[in-house]
Amino acid sequence: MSPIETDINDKSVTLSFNIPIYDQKHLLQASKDFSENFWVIMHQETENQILINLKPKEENSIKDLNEIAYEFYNYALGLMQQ
Amino acid sequence: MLKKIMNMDFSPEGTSITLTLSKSLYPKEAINAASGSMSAKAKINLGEDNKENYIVKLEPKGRNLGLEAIGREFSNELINKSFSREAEKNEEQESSIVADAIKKYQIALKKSSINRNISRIQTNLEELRHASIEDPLGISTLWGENP
Repeated sequence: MSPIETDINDKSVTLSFNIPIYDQKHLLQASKDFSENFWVIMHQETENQILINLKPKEENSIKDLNEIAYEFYNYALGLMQQ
Repeated sequence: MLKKIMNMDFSPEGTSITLTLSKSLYPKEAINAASGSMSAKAKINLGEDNKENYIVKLEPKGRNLGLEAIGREFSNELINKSFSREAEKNEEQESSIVADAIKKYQIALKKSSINRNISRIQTNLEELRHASIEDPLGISTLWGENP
């Protein structure tokens, strides 16, 4: 799947992470931090791939969903550099 | 076609939702804790499909609680509990590392103190040996001999 997939019907966005590149613990922390404003589902798709689905607790436009996805990627990268 | 969102499968009757949770992602304690938090809102059934996944079936208790909402709320709880569990585990590991380091330091300290004492005893013995040889007036006698 592509790194970002937006579901218009469900009003959610799904992000794909490659595990050797992203650390599971950083993804867990990012998910936990985002869970205040989003419904977050973290799912291990394959051994090397984790999918994270974000759905705003408050409804947003599709454009916002894409921005949110990139914000999550950047946030996870930030955690990796700490 | 049955509805499915990510790892959430909706039952054909629309009465329950089943979550498939990877064991490598979620510790059992976190699943138990999340289930405990959600038990007021849903009937929960825990199981496993094979060695890789836990299966959690949620059936909302209230009619006004949507299946997706229950599933998503459980997922958020699970992420929070997993993170707390991970943090606790790290804290335990750090405490154990510090305790080990202190123990090793104490042993090293003890060893160095013992070595210092041994060296002091050796010096004293050496001094005693020299002192017994020196007898400028010639009045020393061997132990047990009559003077």
